[in-house]
Amino acid sequence: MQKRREIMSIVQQLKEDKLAVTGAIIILSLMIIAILAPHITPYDPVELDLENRLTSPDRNHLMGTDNLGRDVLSRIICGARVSLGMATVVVVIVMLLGLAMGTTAGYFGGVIDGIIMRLVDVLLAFPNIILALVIAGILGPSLTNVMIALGAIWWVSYARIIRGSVLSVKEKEFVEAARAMGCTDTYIAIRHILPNVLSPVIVLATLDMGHIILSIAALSFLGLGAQPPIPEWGTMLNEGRPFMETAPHLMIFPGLMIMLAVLAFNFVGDGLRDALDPRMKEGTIK
Amino acid sequence: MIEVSGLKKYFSTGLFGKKYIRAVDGVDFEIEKGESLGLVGESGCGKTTVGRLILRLVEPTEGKVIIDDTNLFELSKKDMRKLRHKMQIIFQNPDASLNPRMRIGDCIAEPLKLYKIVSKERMNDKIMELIETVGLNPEHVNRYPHELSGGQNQRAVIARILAINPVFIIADEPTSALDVNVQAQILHILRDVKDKFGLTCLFISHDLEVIKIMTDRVAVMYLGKLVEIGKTDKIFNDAKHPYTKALLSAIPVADPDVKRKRIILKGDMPNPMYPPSGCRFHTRCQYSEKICEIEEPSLIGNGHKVACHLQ
Repeated sequence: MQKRREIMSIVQQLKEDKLAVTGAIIILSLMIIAILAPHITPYDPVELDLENRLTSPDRNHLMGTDNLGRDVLSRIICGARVSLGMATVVVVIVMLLGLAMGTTAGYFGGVIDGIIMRLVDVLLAFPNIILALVIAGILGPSLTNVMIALGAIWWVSYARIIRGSVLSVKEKEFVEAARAMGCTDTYIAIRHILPNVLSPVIVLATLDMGHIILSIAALSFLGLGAQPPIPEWGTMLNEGRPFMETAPHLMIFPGLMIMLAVLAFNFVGDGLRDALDPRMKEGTIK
Repeated sequence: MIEVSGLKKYFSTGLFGKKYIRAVDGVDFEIEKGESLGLVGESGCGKTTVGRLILRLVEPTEGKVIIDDTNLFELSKKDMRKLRHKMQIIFQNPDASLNPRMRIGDCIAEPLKLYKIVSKERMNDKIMELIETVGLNPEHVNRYPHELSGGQNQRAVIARILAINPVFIIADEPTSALDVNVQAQILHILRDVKDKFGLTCLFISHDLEVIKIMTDRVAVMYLGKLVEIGKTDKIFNDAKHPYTKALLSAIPVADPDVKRKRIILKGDMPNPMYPPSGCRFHTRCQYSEKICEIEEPSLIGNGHKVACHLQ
């Protein structure tokens, strides 16, 4: 009842935020495209057509063809599936890892907290993308390894934020009451603390979807992610690079798609952050 | 039934933990079965810490809390957890005492499930019964804590506690955050519940009026130590310790013709990091003599005990 009302009020606020609505529409369309991908591509995305190589966008090929004569539009459509799917998997991994580590560190404190947070500090000291490069490089280039690499480094900021929230929530009387009641630590952490630290994480995750799509594209561009012939936006950028001057559409379209997806997630994330901010709402937190 | 002896809690502070805040510095008292003891003192005297120590929500520096022949501080964490259902605590802020993401009904069901007190089929009946005991309406079960008032939340807290049939309850300023008329309702419920279930209580408050109504005996605390303990009517009519007298003189009287002699204490409570030598109260006591600065008085007497050299 209250939860539904809360969600309704968030939706209401998002509706008034034009950027967030635009972002949501873009994300939704991308998702529909990704789901329907195999059915709506005009051509087979990996089928070669060596007679029509590097054709400019025309009526047959709306986005032209690449150096092997593959239809760029079909590849973009299938790429949506790869990029969004991977980003979702990474965000899920990152959230689970971040929640587990952050809650453990914040709730138990002491030595455990020290160890986890020092690990976080070390990982934060390097730029994300460089660490991901190293890990993906060691594991070898493949989509799975890129997801592992990103998951392994991206959880740190989540762990930090969650730890902070846990520290404040665990001092609340209801947690002490649960301890006095005889609940076990694990039970308290999961049942009482976790639900109360989730909302900042959801905002962060939405905002991060964009960054992760970008990082996957970047790693793929560098040759560590999706391997040809898998149609992935970053890989397509890389494949189009040698023909930048003669056939710029090979880079423009995947580039535009990446930009569109990242922007859309950022818009929604920003809107969600504003909507969830208790100071923007009345009477939710006493 | 409950015996507290030599209870101490020092919180370490300072860069290397060399300094200690002596929040509780040697407290002894016992509470008989079915009795309710009041613990009064001004803010920061350590009364809340005593409450939390007894439930072992805070680990003590020293001392014993014996409940039914078991020293709580010797138990392992696991054994302690098994004993916890016997004693419960009501906190000052009712709105923060319930998980904001749980419905009132779920909050009350939680201890029932935890201790498997009733079967699943009987769960709803039991919740309704508890809700009725504390004077809430059945419709409140599906509400969230922020949709209820402070008084209603405090009722829900009491219902939740009653769910596991405790024998001992600590009420830590249970009414301080509430309006006066709601305070009265909550106090009534607490009293009814206490009589009905024969509970033993420790009632922590700075509100002497509340203490007067709710308790059989009172312990007065100053700067981490007890200064006086005795029957409630004895303390209120015949206080011995100068600090108790000062506290009592601060109770407002509802009669404009009565001239009150208020004892105004000089200064603030000393820093518990560096408590004064001798009697801790001597820095603010108007009767203070030489011996008070040197020797610490012990809590002596028969029944009505006082820690003062001048008695």
